[in-house]
Amino acid sequence: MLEIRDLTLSYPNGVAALRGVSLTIPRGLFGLLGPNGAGKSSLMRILATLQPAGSGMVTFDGADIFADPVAHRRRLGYLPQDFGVYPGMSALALLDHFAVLKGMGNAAARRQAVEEQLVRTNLWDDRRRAVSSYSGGMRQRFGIAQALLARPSLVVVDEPTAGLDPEERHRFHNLLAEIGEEVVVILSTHIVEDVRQLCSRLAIISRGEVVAEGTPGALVAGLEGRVWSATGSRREIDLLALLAPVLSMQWFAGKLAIRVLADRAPSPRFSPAVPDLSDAYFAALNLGGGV
Amino acid sequence: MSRLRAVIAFEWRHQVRQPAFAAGALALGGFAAVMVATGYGPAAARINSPYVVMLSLGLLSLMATFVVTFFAAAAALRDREHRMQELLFATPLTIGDWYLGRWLGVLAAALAVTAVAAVVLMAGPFVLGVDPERVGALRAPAYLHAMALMVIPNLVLVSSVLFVAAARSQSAIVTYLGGVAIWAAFWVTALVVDSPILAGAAPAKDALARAAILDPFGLSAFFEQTRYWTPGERNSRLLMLDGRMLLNRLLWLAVAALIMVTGRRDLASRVLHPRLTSPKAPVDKAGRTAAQTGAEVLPLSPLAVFGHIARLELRLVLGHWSFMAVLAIWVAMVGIEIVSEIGSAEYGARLLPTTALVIDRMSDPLALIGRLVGLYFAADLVWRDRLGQIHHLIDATPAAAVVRMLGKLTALLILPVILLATGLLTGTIIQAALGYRDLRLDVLLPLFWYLTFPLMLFAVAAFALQVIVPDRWIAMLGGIVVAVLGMDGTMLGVNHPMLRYAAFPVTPFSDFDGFGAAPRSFAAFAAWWTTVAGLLLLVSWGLWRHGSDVTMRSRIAAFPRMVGPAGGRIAKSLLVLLVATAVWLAPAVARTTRFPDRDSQLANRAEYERSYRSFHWLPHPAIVAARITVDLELADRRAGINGELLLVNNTGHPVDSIMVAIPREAAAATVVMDGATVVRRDPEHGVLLLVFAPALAPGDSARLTFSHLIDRGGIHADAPPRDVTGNGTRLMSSAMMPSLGYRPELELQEARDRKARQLTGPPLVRLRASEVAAAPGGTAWLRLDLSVGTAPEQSVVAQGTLVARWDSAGKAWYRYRTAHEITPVFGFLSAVLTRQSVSRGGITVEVWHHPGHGVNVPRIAEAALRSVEVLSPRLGALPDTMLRIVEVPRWAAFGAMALSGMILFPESRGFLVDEETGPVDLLLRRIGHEVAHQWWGHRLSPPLAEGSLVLVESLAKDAEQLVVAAVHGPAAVAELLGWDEDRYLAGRSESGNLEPTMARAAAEDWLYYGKGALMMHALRRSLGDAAVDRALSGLLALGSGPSGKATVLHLQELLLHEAGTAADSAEVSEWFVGRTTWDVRLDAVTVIGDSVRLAVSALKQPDPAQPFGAATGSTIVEVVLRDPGEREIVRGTVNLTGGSGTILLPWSTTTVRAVLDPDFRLIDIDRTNNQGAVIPP
Repeated sequence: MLEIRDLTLSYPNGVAALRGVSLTIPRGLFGLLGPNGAGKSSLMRILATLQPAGSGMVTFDGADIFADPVAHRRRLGYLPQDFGVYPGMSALALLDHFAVLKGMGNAAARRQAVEEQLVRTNLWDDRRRAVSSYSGGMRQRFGIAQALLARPSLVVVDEPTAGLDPEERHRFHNLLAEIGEEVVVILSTHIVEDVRQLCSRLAIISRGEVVAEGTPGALVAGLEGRVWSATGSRREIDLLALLAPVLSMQWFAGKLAIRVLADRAPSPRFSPAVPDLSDAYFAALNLGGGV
Repeated sequence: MSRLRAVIAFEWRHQVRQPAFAAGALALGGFAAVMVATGYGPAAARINSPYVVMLSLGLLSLMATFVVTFFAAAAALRDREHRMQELLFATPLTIGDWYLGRWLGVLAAALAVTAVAAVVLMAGPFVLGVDPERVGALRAPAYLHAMALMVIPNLVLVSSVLFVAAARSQSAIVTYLGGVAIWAAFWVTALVVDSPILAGAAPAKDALARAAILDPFGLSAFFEQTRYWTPGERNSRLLMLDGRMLLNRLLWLAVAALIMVTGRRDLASRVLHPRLTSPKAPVDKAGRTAAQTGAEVLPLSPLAVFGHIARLELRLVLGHWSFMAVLAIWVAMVGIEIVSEIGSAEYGARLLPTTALVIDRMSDPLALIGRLVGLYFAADLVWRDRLGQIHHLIDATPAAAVVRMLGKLTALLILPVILLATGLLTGTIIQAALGYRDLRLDVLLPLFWYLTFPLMLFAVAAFALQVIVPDRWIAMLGGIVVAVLGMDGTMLGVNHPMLRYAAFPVTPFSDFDGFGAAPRSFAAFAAWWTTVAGLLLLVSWGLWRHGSDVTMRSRIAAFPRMVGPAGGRIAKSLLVLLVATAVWLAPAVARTTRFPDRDSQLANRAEYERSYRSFHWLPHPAIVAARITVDLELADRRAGINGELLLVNNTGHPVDSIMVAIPREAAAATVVMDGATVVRRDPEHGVLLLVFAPALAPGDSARLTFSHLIDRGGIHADAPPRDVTGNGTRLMSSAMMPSLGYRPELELQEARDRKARQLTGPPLVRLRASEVAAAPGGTAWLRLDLSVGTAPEQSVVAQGTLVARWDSAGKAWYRYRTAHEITPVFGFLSAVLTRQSVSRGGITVEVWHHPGHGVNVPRIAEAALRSVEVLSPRLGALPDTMLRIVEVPRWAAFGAMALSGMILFPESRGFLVDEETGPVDLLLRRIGHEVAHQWWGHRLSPPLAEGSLVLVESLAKDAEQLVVAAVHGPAAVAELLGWDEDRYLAGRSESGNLEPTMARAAAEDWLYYGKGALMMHALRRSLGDAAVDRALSGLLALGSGPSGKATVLHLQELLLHEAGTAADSAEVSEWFVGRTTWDVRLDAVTVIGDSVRLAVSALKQPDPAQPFGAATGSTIVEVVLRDPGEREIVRGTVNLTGGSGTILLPWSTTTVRAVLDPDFRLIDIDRTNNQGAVIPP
């Protein structure tokens, strides 16, 4: 169990990246949704002890991660949003290096662990290739492989699917889902679909604050019967948007579709819509957490 | 074009706003200020003379390589590091515009920082309090000229190499390596030719000519063109863009252009997609997915993690081609150094490739390249994770920061070891290839301590700077300052060795005494610097960049957390250790080493002259006998000395006071003079003043007893003195006994120095020869009775007869006594020695040498005997029937030293020469010269005055020519003369004073050795051997013995007396009182029928202050025609009228070459134009 209490972080330029974030994250996949600049990566780095917090406390299974960061890192697997590798080093050698850094003694056991992760991330056939020559998806899979070495009990993955093609993204989702059965996995993303597919719980973060938290079902349930949609021309939709708080507008098949939040239909042009997680996300972001 | 202009303008604006630009300008400007303030350049040239301006800016352009490295790396790598390539090249910007524009921007920035240095050079002489006499009028064209000829071409070359390296590789380390390669290219060239910039010996002319073209910075071409320039020319002439200077500039500009053109090819893919290959599509491994059963996680010790990281980092460094390139450069450098040193014995002979030679030649290049490697790879190792953006992954692991830091550092520290190992391997291979297979592991292994430990400490500092300083370029500049400080702190005004990081007492190696007393001093400084390095590492540990917030404020805030309580304890321990080491070391160093700056040294000598010069004119008694006992404690490197001197007043005047000089090295000195009391003690100058009561009457004698200690133990900051050492103790009379009277040799010689310290008149060494007869005293000769107690396994060799040999108290004692009075310069050697002796014609030659250095001993003995046989009939019999030649350790500061009856010969100057090589019989020449001093110096010992050294050294040069001619024929002498002429011409260009004539030569060795040799050879050709021999015999008759007062005027007079014609007389006078230099040219060689027509012209420089001009009047020049074997076919003389003339000589089918002035009758500034091929019609 990961407990985050009143976490704050301000940068020297005065920007408050986190404003009293508190979360309780149980075992399983936990989604952290938020737009760019919401403070997700700052929170991830703090959880990885790469960034000192301004104030607040984080405990993992009861242990204060700031009091003994090295002990925390022994249980941590971390995949940052972007990372590099040593040029020319094979996946096998580089994973072995990380395994050593993670304190894995016993060369045979280490080798077994490395090979397991290579198989698990489907990099076995390319294990002797330089990681620097991998494609984006392979590199991300390598990233998760290194994160999973040494059997972490907390896995922090920051925007892992950005830039991946659908096939790689699908493969990655399966991998995360498999991991999430055993340990705490925090998935930071701005892609609602990722969270919808994977996470049993999530939090929505905006401007450094948690604006919503719960299971996807609970967040969506709060909108039941209150989401209305309509389609029309740009001009029509602009007029309709004045009638109720807008959740989202998007073009669909050459027409503009609008979804709004209201207790009853704002006009006959609207028809009731089945709420989904995107509605919950936009409601939280745009309407100040009114879900 | 507008896009190109925009790129250049952007690059320029960007570069000049970066800290690296300010730091570069500051560094180069600072160097320029130091150059001006310290009076960089030849003493005779003005600080702002065209010569010094060109030299200074040339060197600054070399230093600018480092700055340009930063500029080029920033320009070429910025886009990649900041991921701007795709945005940038999505605009209409072409790769060509980018390439050319960025490079020109770099070049502009490089020129700007160098221009800052030029401005400092220009203004410095007027604002930095420089001696006004060394400052001339401001001549802006000189600076523009230097910028145009030297700086701009150099920077074009450097910036093109570095920019292309950076652009094509998209790698910072490769760019650094480009900088190293450029430096290496320069230094290798400099080392090959022993460039004057390295303050080495005179280079061979052909090597210098080669280097003049190959040196990428043009400095060798500069030195080649200006090598014989006189001070007047240096102050007024601008360098000519012709000859090899023109070739050099064109060649390297062409190389730069070629690099730029070839560097442009296929550039787009490299800039946009560096190091990427098309990925292979991943293949699903169906059926092999596994649940996370996971391997058992067993804890790994920090030590094991450290070892793993060290190995990995080392593998990454060694596996990269960049280190391979450094290694290749290093191996080439070592090879060239060793091979060129082997070929650097005097007069073109080769040295034997001994282990000591290999070590000696490797030390300096290793110090240089080791620091460069430390500098660059420290940056690589510290920044690799961050620049590669893998640091987040690594920082999130539980591996402790200190373990990771130490792992990286260890990899860095191993690099100097690898450099040394490969260098030694190279040296060993060269030795083996030359047939020298004595592998001395006992000598080589300690080098890993003496040579690599300072480099490791430097690497620690370079590493710490990269950790601590937020910007890696600034950290690198800081590292350069630390490197300069450690290698030569005086350049930055830091004299005390404890303030110069990683400065160590040097450890020259000799076969006699290994590393001598240095190990203890070295270990003491190792303790000091290790403590400092430990503190640096502690700071690095605390400030190690971890995570994403790496501002200095955050890192300082995190310091206590990073180091923890253990770090606190280590810090306290290190501080205690630092203080304790400083408290112990500083006084220990102060006891043995002084750090006076030049000014205080000169002030001390000036004060000596002011205080005591009056004593020079007072009558003082002569030391006629000395009985000295030296008790050597070699384990402690101490010599206890006591003795008695017998003084006789043979001046004809009563002596009421006397000045006694205590040896400078003496401690606990006591001096007691019968009948005299001490009235003044001056420890600052080592002087005692004693007063006789009553005065010592003419003919009376007095006894002076003395004792003192020479202690070479303790901790030394510089190379410990080697006079008293484990094996090879050599003590000279100046250290063994007090001297009487004033010591003129301590006076300041340079007129400028004298004037600055208000000393009036010339130094006494400039006593006019005509005033010698009236000057007091003469050189007192003495009888010597010397006893030396030494280690039982050692022998003592001294002058005179070994009259007793006994053992006492675990020591071997030797007593030598001279049978007659000798000149008062004497000494002995104590060492493990082997003796070989040869007798012939009543003369015995004993050669004492290191047991392993016997290869040349028979030749040395034979050369000595032959010299005696050649010279005795002309100069008279030797006073002794025994002549000892003694090998002394290589650290002796002379080529050879002739004492009365004994010649000291350093190991590298003859005993280890490869006698089978070289155009000159080096051993015969050297031995002949030193044997000749038994007459010229020890039979005729002229009083100190102008020209007195002509009687000693020029006549010894004459004698060596006689010996060489007798053994190898007259043609062999011509080989010697080429070197002697070069020595003279190069020497006079370095001379601080206006060149004196031979008759007034005093401290100018290039005059009495170089021109003296030419003079005697020419006069023998003109006057004839018999006439010159008669003159020399007359000189010996006139001036031999302790009361002899022969002067150069006597020699001139005797030679004039032998001159049979007015032309001969004029020639004698010209050699003694003239300073004419010639440029004789063979303008055309034409075969006409059965004759060869030679057109000859000559330019003449009447004295160094005047320019060369057409020779007026009549001049005779000899000419010879030679066959392919360089044998003379026919000889003739050309009579030049008005500076030109022709001659017809008979032609034969074997004639291939015509040579003017083959016997060096004229001093010719350029002999390359004296020859011409004879081409048949």
